[in-house]
Amino acid sequence: MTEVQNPKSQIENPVEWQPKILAFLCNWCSYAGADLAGVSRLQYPPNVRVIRVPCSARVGPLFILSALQRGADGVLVSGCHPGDCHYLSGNLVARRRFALLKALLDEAGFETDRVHFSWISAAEGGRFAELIREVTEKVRSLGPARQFVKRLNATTIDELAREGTSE
Amino acid sequence: MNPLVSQIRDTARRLLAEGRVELVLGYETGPVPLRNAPCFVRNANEVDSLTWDHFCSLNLAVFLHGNPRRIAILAKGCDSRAIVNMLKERRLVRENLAIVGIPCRGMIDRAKVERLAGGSEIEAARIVGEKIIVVAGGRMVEAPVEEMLRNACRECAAPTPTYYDLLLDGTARSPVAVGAIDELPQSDRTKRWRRFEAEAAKCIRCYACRNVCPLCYCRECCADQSNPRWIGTSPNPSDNEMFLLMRALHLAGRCVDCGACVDACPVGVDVRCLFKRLEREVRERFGHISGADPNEKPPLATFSTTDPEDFLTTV
Repeated sequence: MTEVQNPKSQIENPVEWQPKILAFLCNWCSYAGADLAGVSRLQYPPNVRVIRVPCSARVGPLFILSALQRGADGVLVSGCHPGDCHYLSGNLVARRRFALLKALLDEAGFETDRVHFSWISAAEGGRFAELIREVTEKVRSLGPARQFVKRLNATTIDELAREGTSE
Repeated sequence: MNPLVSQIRDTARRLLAEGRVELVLGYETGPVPLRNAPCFVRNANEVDSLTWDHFCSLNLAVFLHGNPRRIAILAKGCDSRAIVNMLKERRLVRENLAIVGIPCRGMIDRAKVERLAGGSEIEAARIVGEKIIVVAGGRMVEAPVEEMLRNACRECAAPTPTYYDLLLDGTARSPVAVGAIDELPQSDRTKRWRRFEAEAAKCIRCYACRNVCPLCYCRECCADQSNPRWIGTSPNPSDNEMFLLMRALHLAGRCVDCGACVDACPVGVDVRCLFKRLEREVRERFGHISGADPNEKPPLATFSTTDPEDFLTTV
C-alpha cells in the first residue's frame, strides 16, 4: 500500500497561515489613498492583493463571489465617499448593490465578516492603513475560508480527514 | 363549472371577435394531473379550451417576451406583478397588451400533494368544494385545499391583481399584509449555512427555474457564459451555491414571488429561500415594493443620497 500523507495535520495546523484578502480599489480615491499610505511609509499588514478598478460600481457582485469561490479569505471593496465619485454617482449605485449582497450572504449563512465595503478618499492614507489592519484582523480571526470554496472533488478532503480520526 | 371559467371564455371570445387582440394567453387542462398547460387561443371559436382552477400555477408572463402580437393575458396577482416589472424594465409595449385580472384563490403545490399521496403516482386529482381529492396508487386521499396550496400563495400579499385592464368577478384569498412574514426563523449562522448548502446540493443545474421565470430574460445568462466563465457547468456544490446566489442577486428587487421557480424545480430545491430576505431589504432600505408601480424605476437602476450605510466597515 502506498503511503498517503495524512491531510488531517495539514488542516489542523496550517503552516503559518496568512489570510489572503482581495481588495478592489477605485482608481480615483481609494487607490490613491493606498498610494498615500505607501508614500507616507505607513505600516499595514501585507495580506491584501489590490486590484485597481475605474470605479466601485465596476465591481459586480459576481467579482466578489468568484473571489470567495476561488479561495480568497476576504474581499474588500473601497471607493470614493458618496458625493465625491469621479463619475458622479457610481458609488451610490454600487452602495445599493453591496448592501443587498451583504444581506444575501448573511441570509445564506455565509461569514459576512469576510466581505467588507468602505469609502476611502485620496487624502486618507492613514485611514486606509487603519482599514486594512481592521479587515485583516477580522478575516484572520475567522480562519481559512471553508464555506463556498470550490473543490474539484468536494467531499474528498473531509472524508480523508474523517478516516484519519477513525484510525 | 367554476363561474370564472365562463367569464374567462366570454372575455376571450369578445376580445378576439372584436379584433382587439390576436392571441389570448390562458390555461387548458393538460395531460398530467395537478398541472394545467398554457393555452394559446387565436380564434374566437377555440375559447372553450380555456379553463381555470387551482392548477394554474405557471406564470404566463414568461410567454410575453419578444412577442410582437397584440395579446390578452390572464393574470393572477403574481402574473400582474411580473407584467408591471417587465413594463418597468421596458420589455413590453403596453398598447399591445390587454391584462385580464383574475382574483386568485391560490394554486396547488404538486410536491405537497405528492407527499400526501405517499410517493405513489398521481392518476387523477379534483377539487370538490374546499377539498382536493387525489387518486394515487389505486387509492383515494383527500385534504383541505388550503393545506395543499403553495407557500408562495399562502404568503401572497396581493392575490387580486392591482394592475389590469379588466378585472373579472370573483373572490380572492385574503391578502397577507406586506411585511407580516418578515419574522424569519432566527437560526444561527451555521444552521442557515447548512440549510443553504443542503438546498444547493440538490440542484442538478437544469435551469428550469431560470426558464420559467418571467424576469430571467437575459439573452445570455451568466450561467451559460464561457468567457468569463462565472459559474462552472458541472453540479459542483460550490457552483450550485454560486448559481443560486447569482440568481437571487439578479432578481433582487425584481422578484415578484410568483413561486414558478419552486414549482418548476424537478428536485425540490426551495429556490425562494433567499428571495424573501432580499425583498424585505429592498423594501426597508430603498422603499421599493416589487411589482407595484410600472412608472417607478427599478431599485438597482437608481439610487438615493440617503440610502442606509449600516453595512459599511468603518474605522
